[in-house]
Amino acid sequence: MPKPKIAIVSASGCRACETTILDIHYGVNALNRWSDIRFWPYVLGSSMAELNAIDRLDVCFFSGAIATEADRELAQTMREKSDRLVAIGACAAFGGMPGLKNLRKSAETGSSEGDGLPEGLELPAPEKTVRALDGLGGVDRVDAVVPGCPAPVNLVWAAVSALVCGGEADARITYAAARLPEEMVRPILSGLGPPSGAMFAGEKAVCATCSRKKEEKRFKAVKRPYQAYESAGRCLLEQGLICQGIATREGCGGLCTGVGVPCRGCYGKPPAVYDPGAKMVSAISSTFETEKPAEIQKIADDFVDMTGCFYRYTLPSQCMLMKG
Amino acid sequence: MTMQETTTYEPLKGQDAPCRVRVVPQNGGQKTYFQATGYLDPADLCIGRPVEELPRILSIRSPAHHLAAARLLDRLFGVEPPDIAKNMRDALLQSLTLCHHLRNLHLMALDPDDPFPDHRFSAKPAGKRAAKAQRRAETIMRALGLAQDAAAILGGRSDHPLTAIAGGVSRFLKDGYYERLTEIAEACDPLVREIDEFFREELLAEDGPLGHLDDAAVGRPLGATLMDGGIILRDGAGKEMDKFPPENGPEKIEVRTEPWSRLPFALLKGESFLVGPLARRGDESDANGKLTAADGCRALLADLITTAEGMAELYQKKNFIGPAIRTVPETMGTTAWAALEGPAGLIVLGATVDGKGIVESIRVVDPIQINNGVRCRIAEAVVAEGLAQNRSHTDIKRRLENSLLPF
Repeated sequence: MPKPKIAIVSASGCRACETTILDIHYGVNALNRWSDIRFWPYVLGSSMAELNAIDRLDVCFFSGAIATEADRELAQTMREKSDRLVAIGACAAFGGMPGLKNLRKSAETGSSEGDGLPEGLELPAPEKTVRALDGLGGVDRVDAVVPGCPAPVNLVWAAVSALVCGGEADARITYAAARLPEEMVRPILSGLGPPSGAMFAGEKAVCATCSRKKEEKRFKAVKRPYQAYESAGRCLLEQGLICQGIATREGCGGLCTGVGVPCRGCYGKPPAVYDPGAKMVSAISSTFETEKPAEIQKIADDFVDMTGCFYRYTLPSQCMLMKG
Repeated sequence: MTMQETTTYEPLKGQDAPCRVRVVPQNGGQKTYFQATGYLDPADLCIGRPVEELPRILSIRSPAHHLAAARLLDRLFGVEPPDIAKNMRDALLQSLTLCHHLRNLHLMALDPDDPFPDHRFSAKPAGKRAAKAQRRAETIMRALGLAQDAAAILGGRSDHPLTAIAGGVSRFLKDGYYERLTEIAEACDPLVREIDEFFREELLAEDGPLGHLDDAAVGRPLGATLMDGGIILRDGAGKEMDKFPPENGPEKIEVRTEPWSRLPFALLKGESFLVGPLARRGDESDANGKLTAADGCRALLADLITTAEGMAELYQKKNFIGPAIRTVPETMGTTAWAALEGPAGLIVLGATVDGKGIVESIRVVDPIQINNGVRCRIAEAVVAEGLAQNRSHTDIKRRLENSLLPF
């Protein structure tokens, strides 16, 4: 049976998700045993001419945000050629942190319109940037998503194993480690492969896996992470820190909160939450200890940059109006 | 040979920012452009954010930016981290240095004809070359795995670390981690020495697959490094030309944009300069005043060994235990500057904030911009040498890719 043909590509981003595939240590060489890596510009220097010569790919792992016209064209080409297109990391899944750029006006960034060189100047011109940065899902249909910033090694390897290795022994171990929902694990183990639109992460909120002690949520004051707080032990939100575990999909095991740093939502929202920002506002405001309007106003005034905080990784996919 | 039409080498293996080399016929000869085609301005992400978020936001530029931003916070809030926090940050920096160098060395060591050697399960026995390539790849991956483990222990995760915060670090290490860090340091040392050996004796040898890194040379550029809190500028021969504190960066370091590249160029005294392992080892400058990619590669290897030795010294339990992990700030300034000697070289950060600590402006000068000029010159030299020798398009592209990686 021929090995599945795969491609690994990045649009605009930091490469951390793409290199996660290298970070499976000995795994990247073993991956070659199960698959035919046909296109990987970052590691193999594969050119677009090589891609054009490929009729069909079984799986494409795509990371990075759509920030330039070249990124958009690459995403469309990979969609056309690939049976399965997998978004790896928060940038490909939701637009990611680069999506914060959409909060600034194009006049401020100076790079959205009128890119390139003055006419007649015989120098090569850089690619044009897109009007508003987006995730892969903003360009075309995505078959599976591995969220996270960066996407963690265990979940990436679970996706690679499920989609490429076809349920070989190594893959089975990874499924257990990956804490995937049972509804997804069963079709993978049965050999059918993950369902279309599969999310390689958990279904509940980060709070479900966070090891911090939750007592009673009574929000007294907003605390900033540079101020004093209990870095070990108690729920960060209960201490007044804006921690988004309550509005974020689990799968990381409470990685940030485990090291005493508030969650910022890089796995996107869980299925039960419609809008992570609204969920956070609702969750916090419903637990204000005081009922006096002046004191409530005082607490509210202390919140800073709610949009940049609550949509740190998901602004392009959550806030469609920002796309102008 | 001269180019009759525009030729493009794209994409280039191992380049973090999307880029290409374009050779344009000009006045009977040709001109080579190293073009960054995509670039994300850090100001787009940072302006409007609370300043304490900078270590997390800037870490998407490189993991070392996380530590540089934490230093910026220390200065903005006027706090000095406790010794244990300083040690944990330094230890994280060492592990990140190993990760950075090993990643670049791995990409350089890849055999283009057999990039993912895995011959244990093949029906035919592997040839000598394939067996060696597999051993090299696995040694680098093993060292990288250890370095990433250390980075995850110290930084919360190896990419986009989390733990450096204003005035220190966010938490003490867990009990089992002290011994684990010592084990990692002990295991890394022989591995990096083995890597150094096979690079020098096999890959960089004259007839080795990276022997070509010595073929194209450029004039030795100025080099800048951070030492004792000050930025030191050295000339091509290694002689100190200037020393200034990071806050003098804006007046000293000029950032110039060109219409043909997204990535700006950082200049000192009107010249492009170099940062990174080669600039750190400025006292070992080549007597003939030339710089090759092989020099860059050897500097990476030397830095790798120095870092592993430093890890053996620092990764001891006594260095990570103490009464406090952070100094809690009580006041906040409005402007701060900080510098860090990161794995790829000098990072200088500056920010101004409003009364609520919201970032109003930010300036980031880092190896991505600083080494841009040197990479342009290296690309130019490699293309000129390749054309003079009538090399094929594929050969020139491979040489370009490997020659740019050490910078």
